[in-house]
Amino acid sequence: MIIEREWSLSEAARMLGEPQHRLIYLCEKGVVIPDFGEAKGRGSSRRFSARNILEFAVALKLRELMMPVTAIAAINHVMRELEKLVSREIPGFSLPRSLQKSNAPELRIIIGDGPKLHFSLGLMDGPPRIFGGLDLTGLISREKGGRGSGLKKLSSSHALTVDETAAASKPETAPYKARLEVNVTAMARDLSLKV
Amino acid sequence: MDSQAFLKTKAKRKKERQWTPTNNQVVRELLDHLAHELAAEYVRLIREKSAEADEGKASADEIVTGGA
Repeated sequence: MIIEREWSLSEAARMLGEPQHRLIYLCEKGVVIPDFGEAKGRGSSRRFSARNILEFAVALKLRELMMPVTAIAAINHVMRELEKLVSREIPGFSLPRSLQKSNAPELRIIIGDGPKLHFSLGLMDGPPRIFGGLDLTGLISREKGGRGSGLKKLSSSHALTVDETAAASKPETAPYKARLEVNVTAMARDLSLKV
Repeated sequence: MDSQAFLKTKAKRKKERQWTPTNNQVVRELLDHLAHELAAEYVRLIREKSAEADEGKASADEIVTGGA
């Protein structure tokens, strides 16, 4: 039986080299959902899993690059679902440990013009495949402008389906003026998680 | 402001603060679909890699057996 290691807020902050208030902010914004207990008042504390630590690392990197928290929450949601779905097919799969293996595929988050969210996945010795193309305009304007309007846009004209967009505008072929890329596999490998 | 109104405002603010894109069903479905595609590709890549490794092992065994 595998016993999952838990980290307290102070341990997580120390490991990531960030002040605790930044991690609390990410929890309160729903970017990171503690796997072992959410703080519910005085005396309760948040406990984090290894995947939560990776989520923090990715979120802090994206915040450094000025990405809004709502977009980061969306990205972390995809990573949580990815772990859930892959572990059904490959027993023992877990984030970030499975990405730390030498033969693990490279998972990257790509934000291109639009801004559009893509993920790329590929082995070291082969070309990556690009997925997504979700227009983040709706999410960002929801954050800035408050209620509703942005999401209305996102749920209608701005929200292209994954397949359509992947075929129509692959980041490596599209004439992007700017592109932001975060290598999740490299970040997972950089984490020194003592189990 | 009476205490009830204060609590209501506080609760409303807390709810606003905890808003995430995944609270929206349309967005959530899109994100789940994206995760599904990524998971299928991940599994395909891992299986491809392990099949390659098995093939490599089998041919190495053949060489050893042939040599003996």
